[in-house]
Amino acid sequence: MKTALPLMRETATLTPFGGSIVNMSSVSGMVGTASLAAYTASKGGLRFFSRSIALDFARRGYRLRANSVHPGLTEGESANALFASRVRSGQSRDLAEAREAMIASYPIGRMGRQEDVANGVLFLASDESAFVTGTELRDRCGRSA
Amino acid sequence: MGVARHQRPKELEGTPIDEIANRYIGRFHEKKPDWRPSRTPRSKASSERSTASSVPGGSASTTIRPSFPRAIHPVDHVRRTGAGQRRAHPRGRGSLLVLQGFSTSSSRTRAATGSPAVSALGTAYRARPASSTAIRTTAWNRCISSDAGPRQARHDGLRRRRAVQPPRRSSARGWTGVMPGKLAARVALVTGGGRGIGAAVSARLASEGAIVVVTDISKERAQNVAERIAGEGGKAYALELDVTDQPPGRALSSMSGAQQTPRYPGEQCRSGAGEVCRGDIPRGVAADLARQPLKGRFSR
Repeated sequence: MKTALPLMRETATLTPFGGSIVNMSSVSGMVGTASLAAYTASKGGLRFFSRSIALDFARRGYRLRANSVHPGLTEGESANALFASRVRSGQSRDLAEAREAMIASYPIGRMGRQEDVANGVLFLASDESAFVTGTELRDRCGRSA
Repeated sequence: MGVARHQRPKELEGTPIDEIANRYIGRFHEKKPDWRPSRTPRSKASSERSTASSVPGGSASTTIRPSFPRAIHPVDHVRRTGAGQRRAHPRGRGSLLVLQGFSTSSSRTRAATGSPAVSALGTAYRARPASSTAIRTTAWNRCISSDAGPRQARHDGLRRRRAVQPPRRSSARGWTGVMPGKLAARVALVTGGGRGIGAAVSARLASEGAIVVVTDISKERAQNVAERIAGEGGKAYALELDVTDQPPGRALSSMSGAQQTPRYPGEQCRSGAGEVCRGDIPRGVAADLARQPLKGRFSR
């Protein structure tokens, strides 16, 4: 962020809608998660870092927006690692059961795909969200509804 | 590098909003961004480029940079001034940044190869509707109609010497020119783009026409993703980047220089998949990145 900011500040003046920063946080940045204290702390920090810089940019007149994305359980290696840790800690008997148990907490009944998250990022990155800054996109499949 | 440069100049305080817009539009045409090299013969320019190492903001106090007063909504700005047709390009070159934060993956999982995300990329692209020629053409026309002429090239920061050319069609890979879309000709930097969500995001942004800089702690993974994107007709660079690295801009600074010049926004790099097409990234950008120390105060 710090590294790219001077550059973005410059290039944002070249376009009427300015630039956009999208921070990848997580559901764990909004609610606590057992056994993921460090992860939760960093994602929660990122969430409010994102909000703060959004205000900062607006106040200083930078033509930059900053938003965060909070995906729920998403397919990929992180999810696999999470399942494995459930098995290791004895919460679930095997990976399949761990998977079922975690999906059960999402009303929509499936894990998020990476493309789902990517589409959210695309929205925040594009000019379609030109009036959106300092917000959070919760890809939580209805879990917080 | 002062804050004042980005705020509305004192002299414009209290001016009616239309007046401000018109004055800015005027300036927009007269002045060029200061990182753009001055008009010099090609052979001479290339030797100068290495030594000049343009310092953006060095002459900022004297150069009026193209900027829009932030009090004016961009849409109003375009409508009031009729800028959309000839002048300000509403989808001009800007920058995007997708930061992924830190991963929880252990060193063991980090070392794992054959990430499923890379294979998922193909799906992401195939999932795009097979857009008809009509749609493509319309989008392209929108690009060029508001982006015609060499003067516009200066706004966009493209060192373009010829007029806009229509995209070429190659039967094997579809359009090889710009991919019109929501992010046409804009630059996106994705950290952790080598796999997982980062890879999917890179692919999606590229599918909307963004020039994506895929960075990852693993050069190989980033390269794979960039090649995949390029193979699908998108535009991507691969860069090895550890966000905790010091100095952080070292990898990114390899993008500096301007050996290749795109002739229209997002011109396809011809030298191979995933390779850096240097003209895309403004000179001075990389120098800026390289100068920023990672440790210390978060200065704005």
